[in-house]
Amino acid sequence: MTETLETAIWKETPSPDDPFQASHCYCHGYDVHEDLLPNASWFEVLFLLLAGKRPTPAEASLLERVAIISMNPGTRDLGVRAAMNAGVGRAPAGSVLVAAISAGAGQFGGAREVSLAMRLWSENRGAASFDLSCPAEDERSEWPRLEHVPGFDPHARSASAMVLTSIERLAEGSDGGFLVWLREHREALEAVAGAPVSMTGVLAAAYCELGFSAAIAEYASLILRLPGAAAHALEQRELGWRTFPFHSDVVRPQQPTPPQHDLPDITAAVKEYVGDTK
Amino acid sequence: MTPSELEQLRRCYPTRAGFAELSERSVFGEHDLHHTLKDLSWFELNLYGITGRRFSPVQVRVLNYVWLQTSYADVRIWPNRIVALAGSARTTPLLALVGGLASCDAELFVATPLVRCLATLRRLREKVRAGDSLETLLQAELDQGRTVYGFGRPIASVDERVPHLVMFLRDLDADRGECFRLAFRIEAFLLEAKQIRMNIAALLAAVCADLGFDEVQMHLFSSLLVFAGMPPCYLDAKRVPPGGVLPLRCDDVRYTGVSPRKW
Repeated sequence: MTETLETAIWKETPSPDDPFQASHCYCHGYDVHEDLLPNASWFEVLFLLLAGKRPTPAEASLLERVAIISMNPGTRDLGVRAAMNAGVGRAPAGSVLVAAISAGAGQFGGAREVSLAMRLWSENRGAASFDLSCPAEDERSEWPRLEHVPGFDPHARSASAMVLTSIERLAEGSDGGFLVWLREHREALEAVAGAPVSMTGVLAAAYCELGFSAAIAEYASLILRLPGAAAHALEQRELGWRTFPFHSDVVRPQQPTPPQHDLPDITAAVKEYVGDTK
Repeated sequence: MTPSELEQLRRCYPTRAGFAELSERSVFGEHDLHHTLKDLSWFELNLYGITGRRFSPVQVRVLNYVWLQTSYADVRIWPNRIVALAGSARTTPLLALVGGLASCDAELFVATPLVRCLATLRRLREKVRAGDSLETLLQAELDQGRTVYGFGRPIASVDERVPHLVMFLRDLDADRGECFRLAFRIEAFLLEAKQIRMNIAALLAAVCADLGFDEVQMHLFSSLLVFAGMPPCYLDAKRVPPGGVLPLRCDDVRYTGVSPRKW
């Protein structure tokens, strides 16, 4: 191989007798096993890996609290439900999490919405009046057309208690940043949006406060929502398909259905097959 | 693998998949995609990629029907529901389909049942060919408490796909395969011994075994088995507002854990 793969994040030095075996790994310059392992926390290292710099204690703490909120979007979350569907069918762990990401990546309650809401918060913080018009349509985009204002819950009448609590708790360590801004302007923003702030909007403010780009936050959102998907998929795998809702009484065809045919009678054919070798 | 073997592969990766000489041509397996293979249907090309073989028109119709008759466009079916939920979350069409497809590696549907059925049928076929009694072999399986994969449907429950597949094959005079007929002999034995019928997986695997599929080829072929039912479910999800697919209230979830407590 004459080409090389380029990275500024990760360095591996080879073992003296085996060029395919790494003896030391460095994450943004820090020895992972000799330095970070004994001295750093998981959220400090996660911040370092994603953002490329060592976090302050306040930043690591905020990321950890974001992770606590994100870890389980709940059994009714679309990504967790997708994971449970795969889990109850006894799909492999990897397939379960792919299903979780598939539905958890969306722009309604998912990672994409977090990144879109960050854009709105960044554009509106400090503005004299709020403009929450959706980002301009991009005809080349693979994403569906936006149907609600990112960061707000189009189906709710008021912000839920847990959303309000999360804003308060996350803003406790904020030094006048995005979280304090959201807390202070929430009602005015909701009036413009015509909908209450959602947890996605709160998380978006926290990622803005952490200084993450929208792209990094989208990845972090996906990663941090997976523990709940795993736990609930494992539970449904154990409970089994008999207790898992099939929604049999809910789904109704909206178009005329064709006339029903009798099943083919294969009795004679089966007799022939069974007696075939006798 | 030793470091020197890894080094050899680092320097030269031998491929039989094909080779794309960009701006010039694309070799698919042993053939030029844009010339020799250009008149194949996409389905035939996929079969060639999986097996390295070409199939007769009747065989292609049979395998096409295997995919067609298992593609149910019902949002309640698990892989479809994943696609619909992803659509409801307004993810991209491809991401939604990938989520549904990933779940098809499940033990209870699509890939695993088919692969296990095919392995069982091939194993039994070899032993019957060698002169063993099928009934004795099956009794031994039951005595050891083993599952005969593909057979476990309650006697009163009919899988509607079975009679449709049988008639499709009969109409094409394609119902003479060894594993196909073996599957019905197994069912006859298990109906008497345990009052259980075959699932469609047994018959689909039998068809594929008779067409020479091995376990890996079965797994690859089954990856898109139910795919055609998925796009309608994504589109369905887009017809209702975001979050509108089978919405759940808090009290639709029955909590069975410990009561709220302090950390």
